[in-house]
Amino acid sequence: MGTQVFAVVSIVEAGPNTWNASGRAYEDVHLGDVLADTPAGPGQLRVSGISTYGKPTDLLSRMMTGTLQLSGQLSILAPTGLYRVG
Amino acid sequence: MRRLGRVMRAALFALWLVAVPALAGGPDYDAFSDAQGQISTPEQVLAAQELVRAPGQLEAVFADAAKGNHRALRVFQELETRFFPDIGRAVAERSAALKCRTPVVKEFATKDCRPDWSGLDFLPRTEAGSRLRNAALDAYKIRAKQLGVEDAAIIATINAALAVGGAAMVVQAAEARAAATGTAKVAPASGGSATDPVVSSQVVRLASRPLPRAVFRGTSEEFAGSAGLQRIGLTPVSEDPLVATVFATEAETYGRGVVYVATDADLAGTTAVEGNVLASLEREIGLQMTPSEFAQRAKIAIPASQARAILERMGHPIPAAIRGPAAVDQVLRATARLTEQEIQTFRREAAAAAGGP
Repeated sequence: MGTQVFAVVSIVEAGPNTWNASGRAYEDVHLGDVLADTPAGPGQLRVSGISTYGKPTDLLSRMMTGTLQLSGQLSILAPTGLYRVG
Repeated sequence: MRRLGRVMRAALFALWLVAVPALAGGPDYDAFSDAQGQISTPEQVLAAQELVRAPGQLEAVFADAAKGNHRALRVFQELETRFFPDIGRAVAERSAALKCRTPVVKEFATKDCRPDWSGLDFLPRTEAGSRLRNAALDAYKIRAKQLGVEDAAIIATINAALAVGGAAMVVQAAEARAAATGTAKVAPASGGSATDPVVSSQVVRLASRPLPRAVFRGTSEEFAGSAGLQRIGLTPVSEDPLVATVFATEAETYGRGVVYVATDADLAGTTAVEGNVLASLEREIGLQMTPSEFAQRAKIAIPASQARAILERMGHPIPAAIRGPAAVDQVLRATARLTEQEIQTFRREAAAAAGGP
């Protein structure tokens, strides 16, 4: 089972295979991380952008809130968490 | 592809003091970035210098980013998170170096080694320019602190830099923001047609707002803030001491949890911005300063246990143990926010507990 690294408050489709997930980091999230939308994975969503307080950044530290831009396909309709698997 | 190290990037960017001819037309993205918006090669770095100095070009890139252009967004991100922080760090290293021997960015220091920020005066007094300037100043603060530069010297340096043009930038930021969102005549970036309304709205979302009478922050004592917060030079605070107490209680996992109370007088001159994703839940706002600076300026600090005791007496009990972000979210959703009258009661009791006014 994967570790939850992000709690999703809202997620919207931003383009083909691109999603913007807003919420709180439960663990540090880095640009380029590959995450899963279920605890069982597999990881299929790459963090291709991070913004917080209106600023683009490459790190969302634990406890911070922000928006992750995710590239890839969701395996469920409305994930409530993002997980680091393996 | 040739990528540049930090020192080389700073050195190349120091060449900004050399006059650069103005560019005509829209930004030439192919000159200063690759297809993804990365600024990597020396040629791209030199072209990026021209971009930043040329009137209107930086604003055009910023406007493209605000409209969701990924390439423009990445270019601005490169400037804000890599190149300008490099300048700030290089200035700190120079000002901390014995006899100022470091050749890099010598233009940014006077003969007695005090940093001279006039080297950044070419930055436009717009939100885009202000953000790049702040990126350099924030990185300077962090690096100077690491190098043992005295706090008073850092603060004096930053104040001097802000006196040059920063205050005006802050004032103009809101106007520039509105202009950026409404700028429709900017030429589209070549190779960057993808748009992203959510991320683009995030780029221009940093709306300044008035400071409340008091703000509260719960954290571990002497914690300099997470790496993520330090990178963006911002400190989240709450208008509600209950929220701060929840965070301070969670922080007890790592050290002495503490609730800081800062009045608008303590924070005079500070820019406050709207809160982030969970702002309504946390009654959160952002302060454009580092967490360490906030802790220094807050006149009242009480242990988390004392904050909980005050809230308990007011009829708002908080669990004595909160472990992890999920538990924080759970407690925040299970508790009501305080009324204005309750907030003032908490503030008075905290001041009394801290031995203050």
